Amino acid sequence: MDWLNLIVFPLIRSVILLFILLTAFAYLTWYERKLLARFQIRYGPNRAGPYGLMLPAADAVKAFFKEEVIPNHVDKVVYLLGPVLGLIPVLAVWAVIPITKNTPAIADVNIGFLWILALTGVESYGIILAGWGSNNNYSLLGALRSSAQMISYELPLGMFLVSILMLAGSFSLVQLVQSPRAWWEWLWLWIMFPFFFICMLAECNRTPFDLPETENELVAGFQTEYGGMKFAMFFIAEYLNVITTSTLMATLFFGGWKLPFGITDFLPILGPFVLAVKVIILLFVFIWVRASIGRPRYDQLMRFTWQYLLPGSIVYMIITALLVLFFK
Amino acid sequence: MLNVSPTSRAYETLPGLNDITIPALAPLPTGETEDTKRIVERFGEDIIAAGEHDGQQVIYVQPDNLVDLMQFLKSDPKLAYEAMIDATAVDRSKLPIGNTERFHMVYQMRSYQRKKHLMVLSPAPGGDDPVMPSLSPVFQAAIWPEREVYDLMGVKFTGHPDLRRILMPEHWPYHPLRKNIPVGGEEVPFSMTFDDQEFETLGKQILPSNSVAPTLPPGMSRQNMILNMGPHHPSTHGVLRLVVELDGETVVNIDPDLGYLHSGFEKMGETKRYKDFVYYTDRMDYLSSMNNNYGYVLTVEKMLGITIPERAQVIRVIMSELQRLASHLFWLSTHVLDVSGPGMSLLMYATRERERILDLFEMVCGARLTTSYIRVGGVWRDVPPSFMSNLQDLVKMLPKQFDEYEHMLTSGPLWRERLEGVGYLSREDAIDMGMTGPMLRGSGVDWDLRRDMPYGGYENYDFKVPVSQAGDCYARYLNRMEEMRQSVRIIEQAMANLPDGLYRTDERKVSLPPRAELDVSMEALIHHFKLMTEGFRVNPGMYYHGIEASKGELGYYIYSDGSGVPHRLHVRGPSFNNLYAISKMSKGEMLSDIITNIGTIDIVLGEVDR
Amino acid sequence: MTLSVLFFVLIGAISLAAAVGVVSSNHPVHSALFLLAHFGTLAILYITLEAQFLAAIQVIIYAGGIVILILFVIMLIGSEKIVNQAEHRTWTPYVGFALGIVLLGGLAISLLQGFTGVEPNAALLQGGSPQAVGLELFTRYILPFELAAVLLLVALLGALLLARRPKLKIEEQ
Repeated sequence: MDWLNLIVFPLIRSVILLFILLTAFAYLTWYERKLLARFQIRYGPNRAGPYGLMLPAADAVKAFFKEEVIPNHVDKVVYLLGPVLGLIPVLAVWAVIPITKNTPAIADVNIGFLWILALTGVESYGIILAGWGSNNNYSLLGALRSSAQMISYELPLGMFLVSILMLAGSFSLVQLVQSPRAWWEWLWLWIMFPFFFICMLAECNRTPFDLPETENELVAGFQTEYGGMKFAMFFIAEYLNVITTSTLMATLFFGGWKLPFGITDFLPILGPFVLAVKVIILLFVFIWVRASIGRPRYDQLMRFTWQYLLPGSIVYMIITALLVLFFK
Repeated sequence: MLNVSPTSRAYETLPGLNDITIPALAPLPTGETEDTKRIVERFGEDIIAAGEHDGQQVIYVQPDNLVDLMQFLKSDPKLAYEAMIDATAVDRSKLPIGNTERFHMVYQMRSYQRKKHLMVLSPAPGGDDPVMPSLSPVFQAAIWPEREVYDLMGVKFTGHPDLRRILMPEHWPYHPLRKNIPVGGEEVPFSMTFDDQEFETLGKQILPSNSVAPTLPPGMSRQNMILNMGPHHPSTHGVLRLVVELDGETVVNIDPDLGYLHSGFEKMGETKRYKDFVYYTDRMDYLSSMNNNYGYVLTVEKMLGITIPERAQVIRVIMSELQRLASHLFWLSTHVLDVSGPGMSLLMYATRERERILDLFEMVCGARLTTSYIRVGGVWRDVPPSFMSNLQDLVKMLPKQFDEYEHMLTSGPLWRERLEGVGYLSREDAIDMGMTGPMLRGSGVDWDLRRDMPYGGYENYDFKVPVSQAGDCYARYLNRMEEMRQSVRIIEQAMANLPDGLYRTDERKVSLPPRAELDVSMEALIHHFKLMTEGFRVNPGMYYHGIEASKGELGYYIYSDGSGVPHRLHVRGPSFNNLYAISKMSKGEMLSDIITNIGTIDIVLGEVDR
Repeated sequence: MTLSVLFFVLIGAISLAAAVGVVSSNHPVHSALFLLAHFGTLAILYITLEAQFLAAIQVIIYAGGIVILILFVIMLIGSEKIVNQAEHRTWTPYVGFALGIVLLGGLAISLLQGFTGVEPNAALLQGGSPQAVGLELFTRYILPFELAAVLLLVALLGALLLARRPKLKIEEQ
């Protein structure tokens, strides 16, 4: 029965998770279009089905039936590897995220935090390879921007994660959510939240940090040469990344699947739904930011990380260490 | 009063033809002004003729002394013609010009300090293969217009730093504005075979990157990354192509490649009757067609010497300012889009207000974009009764909306961060490059044609001209915002003072009689027939008139030979001359700043390429 | 037991193949990708040794940092030049081969000695947990740790000094 636990059950769980995630992705595109339209005094999708709800399906069909063009001048292997490597790490992060009491999405590893860090590190490969493999100046510039940006923003992100880690005292996300926190710990965490959110925006390449694909300078950045399903893979990766980071933030800062006063401890079945609501609220913030904040220039973006965010995060980490040392 | 020419083309009787060194058919400039006197004193015999022609200062100079004259005009403190507004050429081969040179160069000079305009003409020696000294050492503003003249007229310029074609393709065999090249029906080189270089890439859009060896613009090297922006690029505002040399993300060199939207408006103008070219002007700067109509119509009216009824003038001012608002609103929305990305909702907000202005245009003339509302002699029709109340609502609403935009942008740190210090243009550069409009005022030159050389009754309105010294994109942004507020002020005053009366002149030689009159008056019928079949004629001569369009000085230069169609019609588009600054502004800045700079110049490719 | 051995052999074979790919492929970017694959398989091997912490660190530092930087540099410099230079130096393969043999010999000797001589370290056998690694690093190996930090700092400063250059001067016209 060992192989059953080791292979079959995780496989089934993965398939279900994949199904849920891809559906969530599809409707995130609808959600974003609808919300952006509302921010911009437009209607948004309203033709395909009621409230345009069938639009994601129509998009999927369109993407599937498009001709797969591989330009002659690309490095084929690298070019095709790009979208794949872009998507995998985003999905893999989900393995360790707790969805309800004592239940991670797939497996509770005792290095949950490091798992997240490792995968966010690998995420940029998709973009870099796509940009280089496309053999196109716009793509290359996008890839260069992306790699520099991601490396830069991972540093403060790592510092912040280490701070959370010190407060939690465990590498496991399941433990993190379930261990009780004092009020000052919450407060201290929420002080950090806006900065963490900025790092996450940069990590997801979302506006205002979508410099790798700034369409008004780089046409489409690293994905200039991609079309059809290959483009869709990047699209999926980007939006799933948004969902994943929202979930991560909900888990790290807002108690994940838990409701206040231990309500969900008695009704663990509510857990996933509570988590979903929190994620949807955070997604709203992502889209809100997109509708209202303009892009900085690339050098300004980098200056912000290295001159403000990184030193700030180190200071934060030191103070956290002192707090943990004296109060815990 | 009316300056309509006799119906017969009596070339021989015209003054000026006796002395064959003077351009044919253009009347001799008579009298003298302070400036011409000073120039004649300095240059003496080398000035062929000098004086005034219909209120315009004109100087004919020998080509050998052209550069000296320009140097003198620029440096002499009593003249101080510091800016060259325009340079163009006239092909006179179809005129009875005797032994004189076929081509003439025409330069428009402007003194901002003394509020003077001067037209300098010079014959181009060399017959069918004319050669002129280039004025680019004196004025940077001459570089692009001279390239244009070379491209379209075939005048070569000695000493020009970069004499390439600018609008037509590089391999184009003709110089299309020459009179011997017909409009339509000419042998256009579309009969190329597929072996030609132009078609090397046809049908194989996806090529190995090394199979096409593009020619690099002069001054660029392959050491750095060469980025080809456009012609199909999201933020070049149309089909503009920029060849950019990048060192990392820093711009080393920029070379704009124009002409993708060249439609030969000037050539078409030479075949259309005066009243018919109004519809073509719409299509040039399609974002401010009213202003285009206005500029053209004013030039023609200047040639005719007719007076326009008061009501028509006020309506024109209202329309012109509304169009300025619409154009600026669209500039704002696209500028925000360019700088800040697509998420910025301001695009939709500013476009919403522009829609309301376009609704008003639709109300008065049925069209939203290509209005053709302002006609020779007045406007097409009177404004409908409901127009004023709608305009009232709009005028009340707009300042609040401007406050909202400013709230979103002016105080936003990201917006300032992106614009401040970017695209810097010093006062001297701006004047030397022939910048006009907001580009000039952003660099600290206090100049607005509406105030300083009033036309169409602008002297009756009280408005401020925003000027700032900073010379960067942020200053230009603030200026344009303030300009919009001032436009609203002008509209308010115009609305309060809108007189009753005719909306079009009753001078039947140029304006159609009303329909009712046709039934009772034989004369009206004749006028109608004459106007509809051959249009009106104007006296021979040459006229330049510039107006302050939303993007800068929009000038029309018309050379008339006395017939019903212009002999030469030249448009001085503000976008074309302003775009020249992109290279100076962007060098040493980041890739993103190119986009910001394109936005701040506010180009419309229909006007750049004409 | 046989299953894990099979797994080890499989992963080890991929790892070796990737390592060969690093040195044999013509294109620097492909080499970097093989390197990435190699690091990935190493991480998997760590996991089979129950050293999850080390595996994660391997991915974070090598895959998430170093290979990206390598790719970054390749992209910045442009790959064609490197290929051309390598073609001119015909002696490179031979010298590399000789050095490889020396390295292999050295490794083999030290491994053989190590297997006979030193007792397995108790702390390392705790499954490479973060606590164990941290304690070892900050107590017993504090001096090498700090030295490594200083070395990195010096390298960082040196790189800064080399990479710094005067700002692009715009020609005043």
